[in-house]
Amino acid sequence: MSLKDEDLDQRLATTAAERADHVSDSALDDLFARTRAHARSNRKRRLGVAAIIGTFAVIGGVVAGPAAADEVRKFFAQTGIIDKTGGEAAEGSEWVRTEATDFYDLQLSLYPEYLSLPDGVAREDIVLAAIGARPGPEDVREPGVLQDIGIQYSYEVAARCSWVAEWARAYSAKDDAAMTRAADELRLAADWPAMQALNGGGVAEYVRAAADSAASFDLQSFRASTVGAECASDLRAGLAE
Amino acid sequence: MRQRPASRSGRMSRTTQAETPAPGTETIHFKHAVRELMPELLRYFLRRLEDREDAADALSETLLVLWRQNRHVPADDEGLRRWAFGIARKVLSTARRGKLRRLELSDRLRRELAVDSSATQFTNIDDELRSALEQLSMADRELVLLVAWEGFGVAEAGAVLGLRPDAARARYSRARARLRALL
Repeated sequence: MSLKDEDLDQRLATTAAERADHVSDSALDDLFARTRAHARSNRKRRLGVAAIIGTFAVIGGVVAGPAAADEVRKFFAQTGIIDKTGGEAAEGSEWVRTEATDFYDLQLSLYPEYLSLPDGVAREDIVLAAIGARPGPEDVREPGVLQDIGIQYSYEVAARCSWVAEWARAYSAKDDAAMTRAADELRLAADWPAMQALNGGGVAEYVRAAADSAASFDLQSFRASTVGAECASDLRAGLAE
Repeated sequence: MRQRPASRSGRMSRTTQAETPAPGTETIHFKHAVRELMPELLRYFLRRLEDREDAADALSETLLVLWRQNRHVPADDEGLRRWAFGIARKVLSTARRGKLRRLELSDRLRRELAVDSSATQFTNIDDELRSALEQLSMADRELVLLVAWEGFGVAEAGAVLGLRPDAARARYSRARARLRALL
């Protein structure tokens, strides 16, 4: 018999250890003041650098300026903020604004051309799975920021899921060649760039291990790997118990 | 539906009226709102990171992004809170990959958290529940925990994760059913 709703709530509440209660207000005030001062001083420095760059842009802009600007900043959704330090963003990844009117177009532009897809799966299928349909004018655009690498990762996940589904289809059809091809593609998916950039906790190794199970035609192990856990239910239907 | 936990300090007045700061400036309301969110954000990290001192750096990183991005921050409190937790979620992901910067800015808070750890660590751990939570997908787990631990509504928690309200509600329901079955 499964747990009652109220019991689950109780256990979740109990597990939320309130360890922050022991932190003094003065320590938080200190952090508040220091991060604010740090951000402000960095902003002044960036403005100074921007002014210098701007001066050079005006001097050289007649010839090269418009083309360069177009290359760097094509969408309103871009913020131009790229963290090269490995700090709050993946290295070299830009924050993009989700509420910008051209956010969907920016996402479309980030489709990774290196993705391989099974026969019968179109680029449009991956786009729909990764970023959804184009929002209508009445749809609310939730404000926020995302890393562009995270958007590319969504495409990678959708493509990887299409290979999971393809393997499951081939298993049902007893098509050994197709199963082998899908297993190979899954192994390659572990090396896709966004996966590598965001490979926290050994996710890529996890996908490779799942690919090994797939290559061995081992349904139990492949299912147990839960490599399809990120996939939409229709894509992992063939893996159901 | 669960309510957001009441503010302990009462420092910030609830505001829904939009303020429109000039580009590059910050409003007094924004400053107060950020300060008000700090304990909540710290708890968010403390509940999810094994190393308490990492929580200090994670909070610093989150604040730095908030300060830098203040022009794009929603003016209403709930929107700001969702936005701040959206940032925190990305910082958490960075922290879990071991790529968080150790900042001098957070020295003092880190020291306090280090001193306090022996008295408070792992007092309320439910291993069975933790194990069940780990069997959910990352997004489903975060959806459940944002509601249970941070007091978000389901649709709000979905917005933090970039999910549409209908999708969030469906995922939340499925995730809870799975949790109940696992326990």
